[in-house]
Amino acid sequence: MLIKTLLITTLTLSSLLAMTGQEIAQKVHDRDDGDNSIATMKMTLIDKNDNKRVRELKTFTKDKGEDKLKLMFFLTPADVKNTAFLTYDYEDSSKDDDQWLYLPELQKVKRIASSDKSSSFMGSDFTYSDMTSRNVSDYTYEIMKEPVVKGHKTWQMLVTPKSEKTIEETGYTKSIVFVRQDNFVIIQALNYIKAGNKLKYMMVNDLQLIDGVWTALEMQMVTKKGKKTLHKTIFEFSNYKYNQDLDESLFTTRTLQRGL
Amino acid sequence: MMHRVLLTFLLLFSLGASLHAQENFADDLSGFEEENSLVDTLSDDLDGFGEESISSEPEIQTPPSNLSINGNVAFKTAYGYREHDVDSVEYSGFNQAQTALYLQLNYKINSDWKLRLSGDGFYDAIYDLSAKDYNQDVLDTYKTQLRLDDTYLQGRLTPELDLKLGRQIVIWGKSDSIRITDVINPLDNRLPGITDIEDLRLSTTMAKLDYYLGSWNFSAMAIAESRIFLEAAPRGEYFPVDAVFANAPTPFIELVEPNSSLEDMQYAFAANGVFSGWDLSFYGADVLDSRWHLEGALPNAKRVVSKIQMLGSALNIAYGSWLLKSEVAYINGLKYNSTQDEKARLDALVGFDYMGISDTVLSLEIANRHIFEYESQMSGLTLGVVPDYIQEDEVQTALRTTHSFSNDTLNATLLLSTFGNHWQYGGFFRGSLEYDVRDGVVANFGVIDYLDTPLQQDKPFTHAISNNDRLYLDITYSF
Repeated sequence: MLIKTLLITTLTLSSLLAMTGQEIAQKVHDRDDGDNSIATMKMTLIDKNDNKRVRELKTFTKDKGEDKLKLMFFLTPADVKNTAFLTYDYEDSSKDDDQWLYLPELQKVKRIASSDKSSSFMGSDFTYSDMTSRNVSDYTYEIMKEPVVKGHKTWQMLVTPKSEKTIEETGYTKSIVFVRQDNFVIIQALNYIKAGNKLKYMMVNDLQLIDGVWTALEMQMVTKKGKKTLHKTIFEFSNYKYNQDLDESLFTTRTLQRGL
Repeated sequence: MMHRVLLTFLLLFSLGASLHAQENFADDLSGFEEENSLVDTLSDDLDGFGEESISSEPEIQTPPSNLSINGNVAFKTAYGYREHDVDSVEYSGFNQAQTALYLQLNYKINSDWKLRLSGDGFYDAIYDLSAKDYNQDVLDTYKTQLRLDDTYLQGRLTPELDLKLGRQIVIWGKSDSIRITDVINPLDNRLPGITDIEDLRLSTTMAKLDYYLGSWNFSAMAIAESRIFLEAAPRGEYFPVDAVFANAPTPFIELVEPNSSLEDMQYAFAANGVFSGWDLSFYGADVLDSRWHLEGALPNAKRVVSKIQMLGSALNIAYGSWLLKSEVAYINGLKYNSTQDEKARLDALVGFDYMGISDTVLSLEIANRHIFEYESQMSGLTLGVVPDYIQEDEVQTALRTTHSFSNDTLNATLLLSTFGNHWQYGGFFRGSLEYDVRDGVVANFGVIDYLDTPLQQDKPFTHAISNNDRLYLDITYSF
C-alpha cells in the first residue's frame, strides 16, 4: 500500500514537474468555474486620497456550451440603480462578444461594440478583458519560478501576448501570473499596461471552495505608477450560489428592460 | 579569436540583459508585498486561503422589501453670457435658479408583476428674484411644474407575453442623437439643446403588449393619451415669435391640445430582432406628429397637431470596435402652414459609434429628410402665406465624443449638432463635464453655444436664438 501511494505521489509530482506553461494555462482555463451562479458583488473604488465609492451589484452567470452568459444589475448607489449589463462571452476568440447596456434614465437597451476590452469596467481598476476569459492560444507562457505565496506553492509565469491585436484588445503588454499548484487558480497577477507605464496588481484575498468550485470571494486590483498607488478596487462577493435554476431566457435584453 | 570575443560579449550582454530584466521583474513584483500589508489593514477577516469546503446554505437575511422609493433633488442654474432681449426682457446674466424634485415609487406585487408611480416638480426662483417683466407664457412654462411621469403596471401574462399598462416611455430606433423612427413619445422642447436626456421624452398613457419568440420581440401599442410636445414659451427666449413670424398676434396663436378619445387613439407596432453581432427592427405607427401647423386663416387660425403614419426600420451591426447604425422612415400625412395637401417624407440616417479608444466613445450620425412633392413656398417668405422655413432636403449631423477620466469620476462630453449639408443652417455646440462628487451626488457643468446661420431668411428661428449661449451648472443628489 505504501509503495503504491509513493508511486502515485511520485507519478503525480513528476507529471506536475513536467507540465509546461501552456499546459498549466490550459488547466487554469479548463478548471471548473461553476455554472448557473448567482452572487451579490460589492465594488469598492478607492482613489489615491483614500476617498471611497461603493457600488453593489447582483450578478447571474450561465454556461451555454463553451460560451458564458453574464447578467449584472446595479443595486446601489441610487444614481446608477437598475443600470444593467448583459454579455455573451464567446469562447471562440475570433468572434466578438455581444454586449448590451441598459441605462434606466434613457430607458433604452444599447448594444456595445467593443473588441477593445481595455476600458475600465464600470469605473473600476478591472478592465472588461479582466472580466472575460482569455484565449489560451493567444499567449506564450514561461514558467519563471515556483514561489510560495500566502502559504501555497505556485507557478510564477510570464504571460506574453502573441500579437499586437491581443495587446490592443486587452491593453496589457505582458502579465506575470501566480497559479496555485493545488487547484490551478490564479491568486496573483501583475499586468503591464500598454499606456502610461503603469502596473496593475491583482490579488485574490479570499478564496473558498463553494459547492466544489474554487471561488474568489474577495479580490482586488491596484493600479500603480512606480511605487505610487493611483487607484484601487476591491470586489467582494457574498451569497454566492451555484447550480441555480437559471433559464437561458433570463439572459436576454428583455430582462434588462424589465429589471430585477 | 575575434569570433570568440564577439560570442563572449554577446553572452555577457544577454546574461546582463536577463539579469537586468529579472531585477526589473523583482522590482515590479515587490508591489505585491506592499499590497499584502495593505490588505491586512483593509480586511481583518482574511484568514488565508482556507481549503475547507463551505456549504452554500442560504444565509439568514432580511427579505428585500417589495416597496422602494427613490428619487433625486437637483439645483440647476444657468448664466447667459451674450446680451439678447426678447419681448423687452433681457436674458443675459443668471436666468435659471431651479430646484427640482423627482420621486419614484416601485412596488413589486409578485415575481411577475410590478407597479411604478413617479412624478416630478420644480420651482425656478429666478422669476421671483428678478425684477424683469416676464410675460405670462414664460412664467407658465418655466417657473413651476408638477406632473406625473412613468406610472404603470407591468407584468407577465404568459411566459412569452408581457403587458405594460399606463404612462410610459417607448424608445424606437438605434440612433442616439437624431430621431428618425423614435416617434412614440413627444419631446420636451422648452430648452432645446440642454434638456437632460432623461427628461427629454414625455411619458404617454398606453397599453403595450410584448410577445417574445426566439430572437424576436413583437410589440403592439394602443396609445390612449393624445399628449403632444412641450414647446418653448411664445415670446420667450427660445421662441421669439416676432423675429420669426411677421405681425404675429398677441397673445400668440393658440396651440390646441388634441382630444384623448377613442377616435383619437394612436396605434403602433414593432418587431425587434436581436442576433449575435446585429439587431434589426421594423416599425409601423399611426401617431401624433412632433410638429404643429396652422389651421384656418388669421386672426382665427389655430395651431394644431395632426396624425402621421410612419413605416420604418433600424439596423445595428457590431464590427470590432465599431457599431454601425442606420435608420429609415417613410412618413405620410404631414401637414404644413404653406401648403394645402398632405406631404410625405423619407427620413434616412447612417452613423457609427467607435469604441476602440479606452474609456472613449466617438459617435457620428448623419440624417437627411426629403419631402416629396415639395412646393417652393415652403422654404420661406411668400406673400400671403404663413411660412414653414423648410427645405426639400434637410441634412442634420450630430458628432459626439465622451471620455471618462479618473475611473469614471469625471466624464467629458462634446456634442456638435448642425443642420444643412454644409452646416449652413446653424445648430449648437455643447461641452459638458460631469463629476461624481460622492456616491449619489453628481455635478454637471457645461457650456452651450447656439450656432448662427448666414442664411437668416431661410432659418430666422435659428438666427433668433443664436445669442442664447449660456453656461450651466446642475447639482443632483440621488437617493
